[in-house]
Amino acid sequence: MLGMGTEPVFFWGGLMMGAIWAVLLWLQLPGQTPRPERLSRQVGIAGLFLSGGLAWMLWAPVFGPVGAFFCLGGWGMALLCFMPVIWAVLSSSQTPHTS
Amino acid sequence: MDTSSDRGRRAAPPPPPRLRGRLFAGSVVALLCLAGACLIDRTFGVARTYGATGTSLLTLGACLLAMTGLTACIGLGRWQKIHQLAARYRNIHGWVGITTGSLLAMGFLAGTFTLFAAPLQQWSTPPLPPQDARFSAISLTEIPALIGQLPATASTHYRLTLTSPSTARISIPTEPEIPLGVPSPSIIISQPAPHTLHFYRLTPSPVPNFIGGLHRRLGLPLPERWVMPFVGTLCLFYGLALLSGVILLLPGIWRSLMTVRLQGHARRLWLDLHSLLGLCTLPFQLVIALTTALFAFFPLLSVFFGAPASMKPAAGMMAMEQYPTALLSPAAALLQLRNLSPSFHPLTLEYVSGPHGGDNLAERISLQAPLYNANGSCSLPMSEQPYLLAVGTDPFNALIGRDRGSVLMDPQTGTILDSQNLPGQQSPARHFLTWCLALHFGSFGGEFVHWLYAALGLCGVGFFHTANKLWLNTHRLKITGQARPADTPATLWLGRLSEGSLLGCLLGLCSIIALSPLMSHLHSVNKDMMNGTGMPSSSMPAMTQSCQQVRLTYYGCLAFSMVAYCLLSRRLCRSMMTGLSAAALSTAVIVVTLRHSATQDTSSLILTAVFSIAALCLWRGAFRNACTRA
Repeated sequence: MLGMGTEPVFFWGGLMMGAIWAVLLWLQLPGQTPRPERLSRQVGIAGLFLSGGLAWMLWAPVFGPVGAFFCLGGWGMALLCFMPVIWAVLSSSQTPHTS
Repeated sequence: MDTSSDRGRRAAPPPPPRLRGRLFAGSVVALLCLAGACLIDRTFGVARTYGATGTSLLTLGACLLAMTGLTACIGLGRWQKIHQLAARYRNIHGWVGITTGSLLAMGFLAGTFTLFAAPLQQWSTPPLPPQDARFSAISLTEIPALIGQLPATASTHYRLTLTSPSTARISIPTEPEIPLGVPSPSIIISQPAPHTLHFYRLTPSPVPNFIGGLHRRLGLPLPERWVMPFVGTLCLFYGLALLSGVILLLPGIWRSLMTVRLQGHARRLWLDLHSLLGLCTLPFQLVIALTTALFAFFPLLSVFFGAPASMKPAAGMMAMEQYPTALLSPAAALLQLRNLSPSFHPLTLEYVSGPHGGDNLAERISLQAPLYNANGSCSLPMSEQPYLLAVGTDPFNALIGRDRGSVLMDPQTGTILDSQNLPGQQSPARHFLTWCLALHFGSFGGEFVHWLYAALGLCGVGFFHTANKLWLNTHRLKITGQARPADTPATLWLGRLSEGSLLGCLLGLCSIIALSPLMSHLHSVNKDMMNGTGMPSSSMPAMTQSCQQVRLTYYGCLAFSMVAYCLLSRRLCRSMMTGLSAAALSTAVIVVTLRHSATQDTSSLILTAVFSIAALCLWRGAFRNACTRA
């Protein structure tokens, strides 16, 4: 795959850091999100900036600086769409009501 | 049966007269913004000075202003609390959603397939016979000598598709390529032994191009030039719905933004999903709305723009009475490109050393393709000018086309004739425009972004589907004593048509994908080429006929689904449409596997896997619906 083949370590590292960034962002958003007791808000926000910065730095050599920014945004958007749905299904013992 | 006294309407009241006035004012403001762009161009000569780049950016700015102006006008007037402002947008948000949702859902679904147009074409194409497949990749150093063996008519226009850094496949286009038009057949050459050439005519499948057209027309069965003004207007209202949706979220729903309540009333679930998908993909949706408005309005506004900048002849770019015989070798051309832009990866080199069809802005506007191959006012040089067109990708930069950038060179000297579409070598204005278009096409970051855009496109389909479901649930009548709300004629028919159109679109797409491998042909034309009769006769009428068959299949499926939804129960239709879609996709996978083209390269292998998984999911959905019914 384009980009992935040339710098696979940077690509997969960035992908993992981007996923961590998206999860930390999800935890900070309002609504029915998991609230880990050991993760304080300050640490969460610090981790958010750190993982976001690291993901961007890892992806910049693969996609270019501007491309890395938009890739991170797109990856975050996609994960934020799916994570709450998966979480709702996991945390619910009943089948979804879809009439 | 039921009277107004025994039913509690939960539906929002009809739009008040004030809203109509505001909507009218907003439309006038939007129109003025677009007219203002023409006026600015006339006054300051943007088109004359900056060409298509300047006018595109001007149109983009006008579309952004029109969208925000239209939204702002709806909220005009005094308000003290945010919920008072939100109340003004509630009705218009719902009405715009239900009237445009189905079309946009079809556009997004077709757009998701369009992301894989090139792999789909490759997947549909039958492979060369094994005895020739090994010899179709020819060393770059041998190509000039091999071209000398070709008939005179064939050696003036040929294309090299790079298969490795040192080898390429030679093909000869039999018809001029028209941007976004019917794909043209080509002759593929293999060299099984020195001085022995085998020729095959490859007829490509029209399906990927048809899906592209479907995406641009939002699935409407009308010529693009008629649909485009409607698409542009629809996109402005789509932008209004997005911005008003954010305002609606402000008062209270923000608190439960990341909540998806699976238990309880269905309306709450649809609202949760709609809010979640809408807000999480808001930047993507706004970019799509804005750039689609640009694509739709640019051809219309360019009629009113001043004369565009003419393509200035570069050094050595002039009409030639005698066409060159000694051309730059492919290896030398690649070396020159590497020096010019190290991150640019050429995919094809197209040598044109004889008279050819040129194009101009007016021609491309008539094809609704002013920007896809944009090179100022002309994407190709004048018909007497020989050229070498290098097309390729760049992992570090955005690409102006759907999946590639290009550079135009002199085929004799390698002098650069035009590099404004070469990624990384553009002016700041062109670079900005390229990024705007790349954010629509997903033409940056390689295949990773293609898959990301596919996920976001499917989220978009879900977003519009949940919008329709939410509107229908809100507008159903709650009758005292009955657990389930009753349908009004409007909710009944809109519900059936919205679901029927979406599943009909899915069935149509799966059916034409099943047709695609059957429409791509490869057959030997050794006799035609070696007998000295030259290039085989044109097969464009056959291609046009294939396009008609694809069109008929798609719209037949869509009509079948909508009629079925009008006549039969929804559960039965849902089961039937998903089952038929699964059957079509399974057939496609089986046909391609039997023709040995399912695993001919990595992208074909991935596409086969994805179609197989999609078919399994659809089969599961069909059986689940059938079992629920039973």
